[in-house]
Amino acid sequence: MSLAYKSINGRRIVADDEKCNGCLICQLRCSFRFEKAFNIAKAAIRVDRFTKGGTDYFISFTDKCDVCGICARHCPYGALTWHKKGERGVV
Amino acid sequence: MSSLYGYAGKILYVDLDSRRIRKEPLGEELVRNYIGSIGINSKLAYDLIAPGIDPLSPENYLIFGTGPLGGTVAPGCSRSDVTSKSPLTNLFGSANSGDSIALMLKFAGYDHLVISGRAETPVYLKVNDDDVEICDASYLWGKDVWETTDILWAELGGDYWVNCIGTAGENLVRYAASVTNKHSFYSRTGMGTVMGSKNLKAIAARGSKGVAVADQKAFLKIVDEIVEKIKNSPATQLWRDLGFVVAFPAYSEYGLFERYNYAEGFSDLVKDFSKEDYKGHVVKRNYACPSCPVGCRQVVEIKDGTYPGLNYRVAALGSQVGYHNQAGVENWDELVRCVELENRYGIDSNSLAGCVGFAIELYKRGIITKHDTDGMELDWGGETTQGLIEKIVRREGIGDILANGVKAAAAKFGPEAERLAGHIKGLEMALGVRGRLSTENFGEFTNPRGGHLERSPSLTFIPRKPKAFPPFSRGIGVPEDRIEKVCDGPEGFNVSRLTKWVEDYNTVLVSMGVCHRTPITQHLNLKIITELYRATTGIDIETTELRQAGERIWNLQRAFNQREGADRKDDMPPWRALNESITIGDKDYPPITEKKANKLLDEYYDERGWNIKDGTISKEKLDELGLTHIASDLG
Repeated sequence: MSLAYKSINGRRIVADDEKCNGCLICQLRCSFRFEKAFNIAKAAIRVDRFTKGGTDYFISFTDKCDVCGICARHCPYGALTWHKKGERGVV
Repeated sequence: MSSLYGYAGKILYVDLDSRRIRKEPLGEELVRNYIGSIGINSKLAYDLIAPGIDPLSPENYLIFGTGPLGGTVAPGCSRSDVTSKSPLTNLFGSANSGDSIALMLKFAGYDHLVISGRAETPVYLKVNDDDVEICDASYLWGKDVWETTDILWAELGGDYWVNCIGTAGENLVRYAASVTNKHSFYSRTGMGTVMGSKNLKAIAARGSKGVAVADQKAFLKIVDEIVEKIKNSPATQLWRDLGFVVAFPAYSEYGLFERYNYAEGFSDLVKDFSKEDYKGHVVKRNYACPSCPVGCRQVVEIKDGTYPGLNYRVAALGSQVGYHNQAGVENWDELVRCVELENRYGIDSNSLAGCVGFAIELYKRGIITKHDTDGMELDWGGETTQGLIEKIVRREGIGDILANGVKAAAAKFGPEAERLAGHIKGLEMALGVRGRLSTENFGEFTNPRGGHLERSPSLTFIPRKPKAFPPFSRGIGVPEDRIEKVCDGPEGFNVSRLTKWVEDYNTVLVSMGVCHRTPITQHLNLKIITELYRATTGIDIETTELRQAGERIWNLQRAFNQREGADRKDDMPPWRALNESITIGDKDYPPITEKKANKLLDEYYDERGWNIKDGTISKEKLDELGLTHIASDLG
């Protein structure tokens, strides 16, 4: 299992690449929070769907990500989980 | 960002003769009358493409478009369309796809891309937001889809989406596809062929402009409600697990699938194409188009058996079961090998399977011999199919004839062959039409692009209680005074009359960018989609006006064909369906017969308000739809 995560002030977001379906809903929802428009290029979470080779997906977070959890809240495939401060999680 | 909410707000015009590039605003009237995607594409195609032109000449136009919901989080709404005069049918051509280049073009600021002319040497179009460039592609010519895409990703970076043609498009196989990011096909009616004729090898696009919506609160509320329904629906998990394979039992039982070049019915598909084999041996996992919470696409990964090492993404794997149905391909292993070839060469699976099955039957009946096949023995199954694919994409030997489609090949092989040609309007059929009739298969008669079901799916593909149809019909916009006639019949519907309303409604959905698959559409109706459109665009529009836009688009596509000389005869099913009976499981179905087909068409034309005698659009209908000005085009 390939996991990426980001943590700020105890809040954590955990990404499981194997569960990612590449739907980009996380990027669309994230960008909407920042930009008030849907814009995958401006999201703080990135899903590389094609260029790292093969048929797998790779999730990463940019420095802009403040671990708000909106991506996890809307991921339909359970690839993203958000943990608030003090909550025990998988990390 | 656009002044029009939901839309990017611009049309990009690229002329490959003059290398001139211009950008025009997307007019509000165009939007109101034709919605977007295939709707606006159809209007542009009707206005720009002169009747009678050769589809492979520089006079043809190739038009890409996405809908107002594309690029938002509206679930399953990332589909887009490419439209042109089809080199396969010489009529209205279009192909629809999720996760394709038109969506990225929208993020770059363009709802539509209109390509005209022909480049002197191979080129590709590079779009990076406002920067649009015609680039040399001579070094890409000769590469297949996967190679071309990998090269452009390596050169431009992975945030570009790459749409291209492969060997089939370069060699002007008349049913070549245009393929995005190696896996998403604009497949039917030869849109990749038109790219090839224009020396346009590829389109690479990157966009960083957002799509804004007019009423954010209302938009997100509607979206969240639909997503919640999708999440809780049993159909969602079924489609995730099995994709289109979920429909196999019903499609074979009710005669939507036929085999051996549409010669026989069958009800036992699941024996050779089991879901256990599909899940355990063929498919590694599912994946999704942008904004889709269902995820009905598949990653194929074969680790052992005949073709170990196959690994690729594919949209709706089961829909390529035509290789089994038409060409007798034996099992999943052989089928996914055919699909791999199709993906690499960039070619439409339905037409390809139809052409291969047609050739095999002609050979088995002695209508063609080894003399015609360069010594190749043709038999049902993967070996012949894969052998013929290689010949077709390179136009070698008999492949050069089959590359022109079943209709043209039949004309070449003579009258006996013409009786065995399975096509409507020159497009190889996706579904059989002699078993139980539903809007899905009757819609193949009437679809302006020919024998395909993409705008006639409804509730009818499996039997249901008759009482299901009045609420369904009201939901898709059938007026109260038509309900009695539309919902008349032993199964609760009149197939001809219901098809008209299903086509208009589905045209609204497709023009928005909505996916046509059940796990999405079962949660929508005209009221919900109108509310979503209003919240997205801020355009104050009523359900009736939106439904009429769907009807207007359909009629304009019909007018495109009528202007080319098509009429009632082009809506008739093929000879075999009219004249041969079929057995499916333990049930015998008689041929449709010309008499019955004509009765079905009479009722359909009546419901559409067209002239019953020849199926032409009546003056009254043109006036009603605000199309009076095209009456003189139609004679």
